[in-house]
This record gives sequence, structure tokens and C-alpha cells, in this order.
Amino acid sequence: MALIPRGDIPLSHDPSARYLPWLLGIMCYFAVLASVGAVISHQLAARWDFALGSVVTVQIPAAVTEGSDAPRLSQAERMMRQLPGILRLVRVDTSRSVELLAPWLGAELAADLPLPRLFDLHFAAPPEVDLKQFEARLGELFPGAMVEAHTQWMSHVAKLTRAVEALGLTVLALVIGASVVAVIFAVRTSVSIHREVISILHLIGARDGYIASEFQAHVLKMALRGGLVGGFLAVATLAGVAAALEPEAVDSANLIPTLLGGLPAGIVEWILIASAPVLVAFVAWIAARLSVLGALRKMNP
Amino acid sequence: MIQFDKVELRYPGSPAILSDVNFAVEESSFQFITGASGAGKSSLLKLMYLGLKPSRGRLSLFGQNAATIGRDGIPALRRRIGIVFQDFRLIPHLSALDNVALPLRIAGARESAIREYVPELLEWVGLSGHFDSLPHTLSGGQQQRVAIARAVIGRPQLLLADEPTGNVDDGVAVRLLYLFEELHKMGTTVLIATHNRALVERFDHPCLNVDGGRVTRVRGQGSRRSEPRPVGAATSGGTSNPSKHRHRG
Ligand SMILES: Nc1ncnc2c1ncn2[C@@H]1O[C@H](COP(=O)(O)OP(=O)(O)OP(=O)(O)O)[C@@H](O)[C@H]1O
Ligand SMILES: [Mg+2]
Repeated sequence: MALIPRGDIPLSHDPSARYLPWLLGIMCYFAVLASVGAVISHQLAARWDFALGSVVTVQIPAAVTEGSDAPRLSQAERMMRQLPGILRLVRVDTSRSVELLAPWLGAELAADLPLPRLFDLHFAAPPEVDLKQFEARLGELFPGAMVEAHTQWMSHVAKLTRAVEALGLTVLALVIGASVVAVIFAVRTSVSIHREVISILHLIGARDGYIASEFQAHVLKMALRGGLVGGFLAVATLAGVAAALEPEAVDSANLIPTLLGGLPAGIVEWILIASAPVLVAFVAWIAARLSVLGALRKMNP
Repeated sequence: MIQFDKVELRYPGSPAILSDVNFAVEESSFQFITGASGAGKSSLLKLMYLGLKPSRGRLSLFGQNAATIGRDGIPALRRRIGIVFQDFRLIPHLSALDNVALPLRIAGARESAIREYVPELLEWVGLSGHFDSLPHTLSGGQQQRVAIARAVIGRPQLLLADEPTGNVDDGVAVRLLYLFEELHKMGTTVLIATHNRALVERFDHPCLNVDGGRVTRVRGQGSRRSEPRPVGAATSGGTSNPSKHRHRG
């Protein structure tokens, strides 16, 4: 099945045998990095689109949120819950805010600090209500109340991550294209080097496919060898980057989440990333077949 | 099996090497092709294995018009033909064993079969000690025997041998001719191009002569086919049958 070289044609001494594994190794290196970039951005973009792009924060000034204001507060909450498209309303716990501030202000001061009351309103999709108008209505209850949609700046971030994802995929496509060109060039050179042996094989009844399979197996061997090294170096690079960003995270358990910006990647994403070198090898294998067959068609059988 | 009809052959930019060639090769026949050096014997054989196409006229092989056999049809046809090239055309980086095994490998034979038949045949052609030798480490005559073994290993329907005994002494030549006769007895059509008149005289088979671009029959078919005239001691090795176990690749 064109996987193991038989050795009828001495391809392992060709010039391409020296440079092609390196070249394909470098291609695999970039292929892995590009696919990691694409996968991370894809995950981030999807998550932000969903989670943050449709969240609205409501802030009610601290001064008016004492116990006596409870009826007004529940009226405000009712208004929030009645907004069209709302999924849930999350009261941001003040004690959590205190915790966050404690290291900066000292626990006591932080506890005494008049903190605003925060609500996160989660919508199924970016909300369509007129938030300005809603802010004005809340302002009647609590002067100074603020309604802030993350949609706008989040959509910029999401666009950016989508762009990074597209860039990753473009780099992957370019890497594959460059590998194809390198393989075609190497194979054509090899065919002309071994013209004599090929013509003998033809004369004793070898089909073009038989001859092509020898080249394919040879290219596959080189691509896998290069891919293994390139893939390994890519993972090492990622681990190095992760270590530089967050030194304590580089034990194996934490490495993967760290790489993905704290987002646990699914098995599917890792299969995608691991398949980059395999994809390069497969494409090289196919390119070898097509270019040998093309070159053989130009020879007399 | 092979039919030449007014065939003409010219290489690009030169006058016709062969012209108005008309003859037939019957299935299961054994024929010599003689002629002076440069007469066109190799070119004639080349037409028969589709290494060249006739410039004019009609050539039919195994009942097919050569002109209509496309690129994809050629390998199947060549597998029915064993060719001994005048210049051997062994693959330089493969051992004698692997060179001889090649037609079987190409035909997809099992490795176990290859390991069984190839050494047996190499022994028969007198190369027992040279299984792993590369062609350039072998003498001309030894290379020639590797080439012959490669041509016959797949028990072809047609054997085209171009000067197959040009580099061996008479004893070995006769022994190789016996190999061809064994094959012939099993149904292979054999065509041998040679300028070794003595050899042609020794074996009583029809003979074609190439001269001045024409092919003429100098010794007819139906002459006493089969047993060669008695020859010297060299024939005593011919008792074993090199092909009896062999399969069709
Ligand atoms: N590839 C070629 N291109 C041009 N001319 C060729 C080519 N091959 C052979 N010839 C010419 O064709 C003629 C016949 O050559 P061929 O090799 O068929 O002769 P031959 O009978 O086999 O000779 P020999 O007994 O020396 O082997 C010669 O004049 C030769 O110069
Ligand atoms: Mg010749």
C-alpha cells in the first residue's frame, strides 16, 4: 500500500533524502503551532461570544443600597428579570468584592468600604433592549445606576480572536502548500535521477503505480521522520512559552490548561493539533504520487 | 502470436532501419534471428516488446494491434514477455537475487515463492556463489546469466533474447540454450537474436535473417523441431529441469 519502501529505486541516496525530512520537519513545526493558535483562538472566541458578549452589568451606587432600600431593590430586580431575552440574573456577592479588595486595602477597610451592588444579566444573545432607556428607568429608582453592555468591546475582542484563528488556519494552509511544492520538486528531481532504473522497471512490466508507490513510501518515511521531530519541537516550544508565562504551571497536569489560556481543551482539539503533522505527511504522500505519475507520463513506458 | 505486416521502422532523423517487414511468429515456436552487426536485430526485438512503435505498417502482438495498445495496456503485455537485453540492463544497486526476483515482485508474487524459485534458477545458470553480488562485481558472462534468469523467472509466454550468449563460452552458451529449450517445451515462444552462426547451426530451429532492412526466412519452420544435434560434454548438465517447479508470475 505504498507505505514501506521496497528499495527497487535507490531513493535514499538522493539529495532530497537529505533536505526533505528537515524541510518537512520545519513545516510540521509551524503546522502544529498554527493549529494550536487556531484552536485556542477558536475556543476563546466561541466562549466570549457566548458568555461575555451577551452579559450586561448593572451597577447600583453604594450609598443607596442599605437595608431600608430593600423594597426598591427588589423592584429594580423585578424590572431586570422582566427584560426580554434574559436567561438569568446573578447578584454579584459583595463579600467577593471585599475579598478581592482586601489584599490592597486591608481586610477592615475593605469591609467598611461602601461598595456598589452589581448584577450580571445573562442573555441568550446580545440583548436587543434599549439599554440607555433601561438605565434611565433604573435611574428613577436609584439615581446614578449604570447599565453597561460588554457587547461592543467584546465583539472587538471576538473579532480579533477570529482573525487570529483565521491567521492560524491560513498559516496551516500555506505550510501545507509549501510542503506540496517541496515534495513535487524533490520527486521530479528523483525521477530524472533514476530515469534509467525506472525505464528498466517499465520494460519488465512495472506499472506506473508500482513505481509511484516506491516514491510515495520514501516521501512518507521522510515526512513522518521530519514530522516527529518537528511536532516534538513544537510541543517543546509551547511548553517553554507556557513555562515562561506561568512557571509554576509546568507540571504535566496544568500544562494543557495553561497553554489554552486557562481553558481546558477538549480531546477533539488535541486530536486536531496532533493531526497537523499527520496531515502534512498525508498531503506529502498524495503529492508524491501525483507528481511521480505526472512525471512518468512524460516518459516512454 | 506476432505478425508483421509491411512494417517499417525509422529512428527520428535517419533513414528506415527496417522496411517492408513481413513475417509471423507462431505460438510455441522457437526461432533464431541472425544478421550482421547493425542490421537491425535489436530494433526488431524492440518493436516486439513495444519499446518502439512501427513508423509504418501493422504489427500485431498476442492478437492485438500494437498501434492501439495504450500506455496503460503496455505493462500487462510486457509481463507476458521475458526480455534478455543485449546490454543486460540489470539494476545496479540490486543484488543478483533481487534483480532476478524483480519480475515476480512486480507481479505481486509471495516472498516465500520468491525465496524458493529465485535461488534455484540462479543455481541452474551457474551463479550459486553470487546471490548477493551486485552486477558491477560480476563478469560480463555472469551478468548475462543474471539477465537471462530475470527474463525467464516468470515463465513468460514469449521470450525475446538479444544476443544472450554473447559473453559466455560455448559450453555455457549451449547450457543456456537448453534452458531456453526447456522453457520452449513448456509452451514459451522463444526468439533469439544472435550472430553466433555456430550456435544457430547446432540447434535445429527456424531462422530469420535481417539484412538490408528486410527480414527473410533462411531456415523454414517445420524443420525437425525439438532435439538439438548432439554436442559435447557441456550438454551433460542439461538433465535437471530448471523450470519444473516454477509457477507463472
Ligand atoms: N536509438 C537509436 N537512434 C538512432 N539510430 C539507432 C538507434 N538504435 C539503433 N540505431 C541504428 O539502427 C541500426 C540497427 O541497430 P540495431 O541495434 O538494431 O542492430 P543490431 O542488429 O542489433 O546490431 P548488433 O548485432 O551490433 O547488436 C543501426 O544502424 C543503429 O545505428
Ligand atoms: Mg543488437
